Amino acid sequence: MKRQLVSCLRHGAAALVATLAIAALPAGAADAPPPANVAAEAIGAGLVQPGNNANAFREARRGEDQSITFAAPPDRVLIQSQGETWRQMRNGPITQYGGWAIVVMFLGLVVFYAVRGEIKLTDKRTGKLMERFKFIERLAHWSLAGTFVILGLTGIAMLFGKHLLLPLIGHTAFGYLAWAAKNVHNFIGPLFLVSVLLMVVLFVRDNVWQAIDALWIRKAGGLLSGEHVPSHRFNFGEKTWFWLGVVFLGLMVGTTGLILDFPLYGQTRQDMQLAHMLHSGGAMLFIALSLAHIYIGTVGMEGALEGMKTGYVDETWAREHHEYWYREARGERIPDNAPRPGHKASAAH
Amino acid sequence: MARMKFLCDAERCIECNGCVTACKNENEVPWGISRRRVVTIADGVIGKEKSLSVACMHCSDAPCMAVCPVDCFYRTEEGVVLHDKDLCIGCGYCSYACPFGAPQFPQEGAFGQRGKMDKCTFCAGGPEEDGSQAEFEKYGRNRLAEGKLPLCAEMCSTKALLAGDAAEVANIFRERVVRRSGNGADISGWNTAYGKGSLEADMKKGAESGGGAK
Amino acid sequence: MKTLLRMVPLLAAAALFAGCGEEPQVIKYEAGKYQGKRDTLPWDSAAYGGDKARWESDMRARIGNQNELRRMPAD
Repeated sequence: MKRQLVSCLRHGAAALVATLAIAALPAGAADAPPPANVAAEAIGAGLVQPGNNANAFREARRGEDQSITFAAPPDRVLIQSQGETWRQMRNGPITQYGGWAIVVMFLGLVVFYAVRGEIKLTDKRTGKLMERFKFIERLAHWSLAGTFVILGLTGIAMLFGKHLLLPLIGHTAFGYLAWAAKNVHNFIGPLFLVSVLLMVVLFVRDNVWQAIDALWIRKAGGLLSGEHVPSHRFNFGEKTWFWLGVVFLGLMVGTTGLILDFPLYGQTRQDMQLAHMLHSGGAMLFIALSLAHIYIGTVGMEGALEGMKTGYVDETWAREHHEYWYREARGERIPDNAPRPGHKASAAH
Repeated sequence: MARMKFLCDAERCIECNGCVTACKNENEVPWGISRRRVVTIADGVIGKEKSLSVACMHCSDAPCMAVCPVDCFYRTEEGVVLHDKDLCIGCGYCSYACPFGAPQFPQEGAFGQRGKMDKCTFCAGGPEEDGSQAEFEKYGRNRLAEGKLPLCAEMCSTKALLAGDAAEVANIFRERVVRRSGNGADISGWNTAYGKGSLEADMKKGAESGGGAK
Repeated sequence: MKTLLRMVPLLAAAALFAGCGEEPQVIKYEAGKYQGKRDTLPWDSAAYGGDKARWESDMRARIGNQNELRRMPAD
């Protein structure tokens, strides 16, 4: 019963990874092992050969009622079928769709930049600065960003290096590179999780749902129209990145990473497989989404990077991109449910 | 010598673990690793207890090879699956993918620091000079180069564990099964152990030959 | 703006067609394709000096030795 439950959970998790990677499961991946009673019936009907190894191997493969004298802790069964599912997921959807998700996102951003260009400030800068991020917030952000980039690059080297780098630099050089990548990945990983937790604590207060977010969703953030949609300190796009990226993907990738990083607590190979599928599948989506975040935070929008770099933004930037936050900071009262239809929007594009 | 294979006869294996010990001693396998393991099914149930000794099956379509991020696995001309410890980064993916748990780590530690993966070499050493000290320290004895078979099989007291060319080993086993009034049509291998729908195939084979009805 | 909207189905199609890039799961090992460190052949050892035929006949003899049925006298 417990076995079946665990097996169901594993298949469920595998499906989740596939969904995250915007992928359909390959037909073979979710095949259930043949029900155990078929084997029993076959033996009862005298259809199975006695005297050869077929029965013994079949029993061994079912993995029930068996003992191994000298076994390493992760090997509680002799033959595991789950490895095949893991291999199909890792070499299949996670590598294929994950890789394409990153490539498509990158190309999409290039096209977006070509069409839309940098989102410039409409009005002139006032020269007066507003504090947007405190030092501790910038510290958390940049330690998360730094570890993320290192982990992303080393992780990509381990997943795609065999196909992309190895043919270029050969087995020996790539062997050293991958060895370094693995160890850097393993040692930087826990720092990433600490940064994620710090980010969550620092930023969760300003990322809760606010009534004005409905307007942002209706207008798709003004990304396509060029309209400036008012928001409090964070608009709905930033909130989506916070909840989906930092909280959900960050915590999932971080905790599954810990399971893989500290194999001392009796994890079986099956636990490691499940952790790895969630880890790499989630990481692929995380990297693809992060490209959009990096884009809008650097070349995509004038004045966005200086906010996170120096902690201060120009008042014009604050008024145009986060109008309610700007007005609150100036001591104005913002009515709670107030998407004002006729607010002064600058439609320059 | 087309394909080197192990074959363990479940009717003969007595779970003495002699193969495990012989392998550990001959290859000076690192602490905490058994390249070969003996599994007992239905331990203590009279008439049902069966034991099998399993190590690397030297698959022709090896999953370890398919998932290795540094492509350090290779197959020799005799069909033995080996790996290069100089390239291995110790990520553990081969041990997740392997159905038989053949690749193992010398020790487990924090931060995934587990050294280079270790696995059964069919007593064929590794990619170092045959019989050299470097080969012995990394991979164990190269008995194949001395014209000998893997020690686990050669010292098996009941001759349950057979090693050698797949066709010849299969002949020996078939002869035994025929003496046990079977037809020996189905011997252990990838399909029996890990393939899909092998049960149906076995049943069909058994029904066609009529051997199962005896 | 219209070009941008036209890109949407194109990118969606690209994402969908990514699945066509699926490769077979299991590597078929081809002799000579492996670029890593070379391993010497067992019959190229000191004991055999490249004599493949002698190595094979020795191996065959040892494999045969595992069959105790052949060592029994015929009835």
